[in-house]
Amino acid sequence: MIKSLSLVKILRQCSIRSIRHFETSTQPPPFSSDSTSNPISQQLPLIVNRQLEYPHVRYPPLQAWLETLGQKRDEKLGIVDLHPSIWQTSPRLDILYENIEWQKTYKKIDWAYTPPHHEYPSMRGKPWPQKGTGRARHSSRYDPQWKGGYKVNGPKGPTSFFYVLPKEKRIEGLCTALTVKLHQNDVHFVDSFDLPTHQPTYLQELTEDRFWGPSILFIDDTDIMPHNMMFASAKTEGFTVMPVYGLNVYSILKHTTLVLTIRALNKIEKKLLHALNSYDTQKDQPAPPDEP
Amino acid sequence: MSLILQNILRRCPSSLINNVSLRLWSSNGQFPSHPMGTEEYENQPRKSLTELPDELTERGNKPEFISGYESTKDGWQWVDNILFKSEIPQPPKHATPSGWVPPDPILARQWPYFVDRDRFHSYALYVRILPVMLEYWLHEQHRYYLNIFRRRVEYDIYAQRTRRFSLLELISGDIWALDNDLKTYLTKRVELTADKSKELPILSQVDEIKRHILVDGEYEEWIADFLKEKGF
Repeated sequence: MIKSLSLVKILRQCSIRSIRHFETSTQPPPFSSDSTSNPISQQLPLIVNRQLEYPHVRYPPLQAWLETLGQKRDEKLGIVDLHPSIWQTSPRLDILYENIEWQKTYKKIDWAYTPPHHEYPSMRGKPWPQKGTGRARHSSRYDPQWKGGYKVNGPKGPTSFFYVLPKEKRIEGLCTALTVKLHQNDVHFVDSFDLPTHQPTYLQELTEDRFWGPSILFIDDTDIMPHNMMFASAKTEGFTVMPVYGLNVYSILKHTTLVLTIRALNKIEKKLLHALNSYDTQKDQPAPPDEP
Repeated sequence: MSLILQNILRRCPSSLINNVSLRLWSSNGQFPSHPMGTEEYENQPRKSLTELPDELTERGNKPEFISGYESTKDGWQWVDNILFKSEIPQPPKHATPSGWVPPDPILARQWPYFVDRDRFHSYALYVRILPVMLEYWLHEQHRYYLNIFRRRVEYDIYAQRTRRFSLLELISGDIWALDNDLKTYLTKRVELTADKSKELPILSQVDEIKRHILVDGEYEEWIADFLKEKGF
């Protein structure tokens, strides 16, 4: 109830702002990710000119709001186009399950070890003579039926559960996880992670006002984050900051909301679309690109 | 020293004995028995079997050909053609003689479903083969839900062949509507032929999670014609 009211307020504000700016300006300037100035001072609304590679035959691009972390007030900067091959795939639950199981088990090593009979103390000699004593007949003290005896077919040594899921399934898993998050209103697109203060309370109150969930996954294109963002997320429980190369199905589904920058979105789409629309054998796979 | 060793030493060339320190096993138990490891042996220049004799190497003189040759860097296109490339080229926008037809997006938007193409611009149509089921006893008949399924299996057993299914993937939209349309098309197509299998109904399995349709029988060509008609 409250969420819908706040959304209505936001939409009303956005529409009023957009009308005002349309009256004054004929065409808004294109969004440039290199601009470090305060985006609010630019003419709004910004429609980010994202040219999508490999356009889909049937489905047009999806659209999502572009937001900021630069101010607490929830003002939308514009609209972002999303590729339907990544953000509008079918919800393949079986592939999500396989990805999560793979992520859990490929690192698993079972350290259980039961020494076999030749690693036990010497077993020469019967514990007591065959006949005469009233006890059962035994040939050695360390047989399997004894307490403290060896095990015949027990676990031997560290066993690894390492395997690599096929590339197509991993890609499909990422696309499925992203579609699921988007269509459940848990994905937000942000121009950058530049915060005005390093105080963690700023970011906490901002996310509470916008109902962004207890656990948030912030994704940027590089692994070097702005200082304010790093400080705020380190001090807050539930906030995780991650570069694009760390994106995985388990983390996407574990955190309630997903916050992406435009640069991260560009990188993700480029990589995934290239993987979906090209054919690389194992030998010919190119080295991962190191873009700053 | 023993007689054997004396004979060996007599037959060895003197140069070898002088150059290499021959210390063979003797009754005293002198060590080492082979010069390998000694400085004199290790520091000799080694000759490998793969080394060519000097006449054939290009150390100073290039081999002479009857006709002269020159090395250039032109003609890279002939090499580039053969190299493997991960980028898949764009197909033509007209039908090719092999029977390939490009998709018609205007026609494809009419239907409540959509069948996408794979990255190589072909239909996601595949064959699934299963071993033929063994004959089952009368008391197992309760296992099989539909009698029509049993008739299909018995026809395969009669024809002495493996079970064949056609799989259609990459479906989005209303799968059940596509399933109905596909079945009507295939039954019409089967009636036109003079095959005994036309007595049997067309059975299909719809998987909503994996988004595929599995049709009992080898109807890939007819399914491809169906997709071409729809513009997918």
